[in-house]
Amino acid sequence: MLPYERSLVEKWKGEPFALLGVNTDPPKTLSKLVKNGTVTWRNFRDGKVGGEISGKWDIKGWPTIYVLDHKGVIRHVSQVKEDLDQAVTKLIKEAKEDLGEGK
Amino acid sequence: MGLVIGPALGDGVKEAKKLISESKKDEVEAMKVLDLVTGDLTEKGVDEVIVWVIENGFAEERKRVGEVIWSLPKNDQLMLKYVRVLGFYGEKQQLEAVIGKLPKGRVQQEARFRLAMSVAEDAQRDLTLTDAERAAGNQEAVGILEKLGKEEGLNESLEKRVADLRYKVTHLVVGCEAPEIEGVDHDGKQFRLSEFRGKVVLLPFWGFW
Repeated sequence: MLPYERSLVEKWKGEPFALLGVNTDPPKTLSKLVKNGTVTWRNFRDGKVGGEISGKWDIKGWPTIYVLDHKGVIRHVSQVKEDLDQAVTKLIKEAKEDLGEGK
Repeated sequence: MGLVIGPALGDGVKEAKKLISESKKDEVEAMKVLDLVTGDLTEKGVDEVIVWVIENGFAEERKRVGEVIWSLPKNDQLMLKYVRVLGFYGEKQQLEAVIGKLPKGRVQQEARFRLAMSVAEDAQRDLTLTDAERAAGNQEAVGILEKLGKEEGLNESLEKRVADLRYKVTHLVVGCEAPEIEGVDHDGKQFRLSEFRGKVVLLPFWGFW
């Protein structure tokens, strides 16, 4: 999963796109992963499975991946990575059109 | 070895249990097991056999159970088990049938909750739905939950599950504005999800375990 996520960060560099994780590892593990370059995106520290954020979002399966559009609306929820590329590509196009850059 | 002269009372259950015990080695058809007990639903131990069928059968068997379960002596535990399994498989029609037949009370409330869950799950999972169809599904689930939430004598656990699912369907599904997240990053630096408005956000909940 992680190399794939790194590739997405690369792929949409310079686009109206952000990869933000909610990470359930102990804080030390997360720090290590960021320092050694395994994780190249920003994460909310949730500390443990069933942490406060995951609890509020009622996350039952891991990973669960949400895709939000540029207005902050949930547009896609998935447990697999296969359909993410298409969903994000579509939404980036939509964002650019809405922001007047896509013409 | 005893000599068996004709079927004595309880033979259906005995035969069914024998088949069930063999199912550990071989595939045993749940329908065959069910057939063995439906001749006399008053036999002692029928409940256990039906539970096994509910847990091990497929849609066909669950449908048959739906036909015979009403002839059994009243058994809330068995009914609850049936309702939960129907919910697990998202069998909305069966759940609706059960809700229509059950008297008001704990089991019927549970069935209505499971129906709301199935409706909400379908609205999320079915990728062929249009946005309007998805919204209609969510609305239907909210409707069931609202009515259920107002019901007298709801036990605490169900009351909480109803509230939680309602929050989920109205805040955490496709089409909803994402709830704010306020937290800290790996360095302990504070930041917020809403700072990223204007960007498409890919938000995985994940762990490196």
